[in-house]
Amino acid sequence: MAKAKKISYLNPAQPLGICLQKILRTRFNEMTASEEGTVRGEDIEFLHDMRVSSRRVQAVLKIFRAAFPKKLYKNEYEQVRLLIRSLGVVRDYDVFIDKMEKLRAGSTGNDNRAIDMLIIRKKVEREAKRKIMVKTINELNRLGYKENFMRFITTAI
Amino acid sequence: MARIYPVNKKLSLKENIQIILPVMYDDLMILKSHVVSKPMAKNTLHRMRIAGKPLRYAMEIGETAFGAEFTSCLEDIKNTVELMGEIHDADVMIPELNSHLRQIRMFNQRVPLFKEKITTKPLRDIINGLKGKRKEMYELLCTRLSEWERMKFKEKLMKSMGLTRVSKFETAGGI
Repeated sequence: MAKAKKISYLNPAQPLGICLQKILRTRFNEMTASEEGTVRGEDIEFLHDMRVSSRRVQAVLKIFRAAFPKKLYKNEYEQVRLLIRSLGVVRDYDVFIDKMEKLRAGSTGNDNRAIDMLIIRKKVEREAKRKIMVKTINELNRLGYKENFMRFITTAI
Repeated sequence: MARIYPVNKKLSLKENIQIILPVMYDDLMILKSHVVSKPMAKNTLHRMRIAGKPLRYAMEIGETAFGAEFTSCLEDIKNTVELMGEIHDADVMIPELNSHLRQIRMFNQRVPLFKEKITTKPLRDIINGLKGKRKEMYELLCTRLSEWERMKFKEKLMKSMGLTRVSKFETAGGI
């Protein structure tokens, strides 16, 4: 799992609101930094990193939920959740395919067609899910999810 | 219903983490006895993993506020949540592989020539290997969770945050 980036100038003795702004800004930027690579799709690690970072954003929102105004929280949380779900579906395929390919490499049999067929099917399914994921990310960008989130951090806390 | 943690905006991040973490730890460990007693309770194990993830992330935030003992607790939580993740991956893969195996067998039944049949042995080997690995990982998980209880992990965690547990005796007006 991608290691969490150090949060600059975080002083835990400071009031919660100030700290949450710094934490959420760092985690959110961490997440969006992998967006381009995720959409391009050449390296599955971008998607993995983006998913882990988005999970960290979600966790902060969930844990400190009581610190945010209800309505604003709901809107932002829904967008993050939508993103996480679409990333998660593709990531599940990546994990499955990766594990199967490793098991295939370790297989001693001469006829591995049964394994190959499964890997091919999963890759086809993954590609279809990836298209949906890219569409979701593009749609969220059209709605200005990054700008909305930054506004949420500065005004809601 | 989503859990709402007792956050206090007037307090610092550190103080809030001191309040929240023991609650999150309890949310995780409430599922322990069910997980330990029922090896194939996949859904409960998954729920336990889901409870463990935010605990891990909250502890990552708390790492800046506390010392080495806290970091050691975080490592324990991290490793255990990752172990639960590995078990979950096996729980997802085994039924998928079994379903694929059934499809291959159905195909083989319809193929008249032996040489056209697809051998299922590599698939069966993988399924058996995964089952064996899952069993080992599950046993390791049970050992770790029981160890946490025996070694009073929660108290260690609280101590690492500079907290001491208040006993019932003290709150009842004891010494």
